[in-house]
Amino acid sequence: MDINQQKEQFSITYVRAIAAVAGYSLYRPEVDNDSVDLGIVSRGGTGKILSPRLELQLKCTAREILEENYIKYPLNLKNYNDLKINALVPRILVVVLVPEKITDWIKQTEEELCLRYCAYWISLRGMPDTENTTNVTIEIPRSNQLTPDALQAIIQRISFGGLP
Amino acid sequence: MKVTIKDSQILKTVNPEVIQAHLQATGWHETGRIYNDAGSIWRLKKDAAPEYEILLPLEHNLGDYAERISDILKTLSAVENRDQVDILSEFITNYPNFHVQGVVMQIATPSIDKLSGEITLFGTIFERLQEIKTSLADHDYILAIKAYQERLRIHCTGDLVKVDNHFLLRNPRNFQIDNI
Repeated sequence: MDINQQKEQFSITYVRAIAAVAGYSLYRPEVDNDSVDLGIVSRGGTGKILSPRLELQLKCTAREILEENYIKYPLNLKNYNDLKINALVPRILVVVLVPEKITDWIKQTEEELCLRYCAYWISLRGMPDTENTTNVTIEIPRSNQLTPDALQAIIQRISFGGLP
Repeated sequence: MKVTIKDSQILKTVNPEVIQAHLQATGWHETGRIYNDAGSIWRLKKDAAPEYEILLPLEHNLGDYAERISDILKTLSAVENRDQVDILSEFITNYPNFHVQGVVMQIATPSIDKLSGEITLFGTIFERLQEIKTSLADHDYILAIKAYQERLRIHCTGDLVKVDNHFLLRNPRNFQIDNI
């Protein structure tokens, strides 16, 4: 398995752990599409939508992107354009930040299994068109951590016809 | 066999009005709209199963139009216990640049003053044999007559539309007899 596949597997696992704690299931998109890697569905929404869903573009990076208040991730143009347009099932970008060395990605003892470091999320819906030709640098506030609570709040908003 | 449609180009050709009419005719009801009427929510209560839900995209420029049509096919396939391909072929009303392969089934009486006329093809549309009407002229028309008389297979490209439950191939082009 090459490093990119390892990153993909690790970030899916990270999201799966969070979704499991939040009480949601994951699905893989069936239509040919390279801007959605994973979907999250909740059964039993309390709002307008009974089965609110959220779709994710997952990125995993070991680069130095951490700044004081933001992480800065260079997103490729195709993904940027696909994430900024309106969708009936809202899409978000999730960036999973990992240590440089693969063996540091998890810490394991008899007490715990710890996944490192952290996943951040942002919705790019309604962002402006860009004249960039390859990448767009996305700033995600460090407070936008993808936690079970954050995910539940997002799904709750979607259930009521709102945005993530 | 369980077939899943993954081709977003095909899925994008389905119009929401066609699905809406199908849902209304099969007991579904609309319960609300989301994102400034970009989509509608539909529900169906059937037997003891949990309520089914469909998100119907109403705007073609939605980023996930094809994905949502795919979801709908999946849900309807479960509810109606039919193949996705079967349901999709009912929903297709407009398919530009469609490639038909088949045979010439019928040649209508030719025009008096021109070398042209209506012909009926028999070809596959989403894995189902269907009659398709089209109009050909000049060289293409002669080829169609030859194919009809000699029972040769043909292929042709055109804009497929469905009118009153009949398929028409508009702007037929590249009409050819196979293997000559």
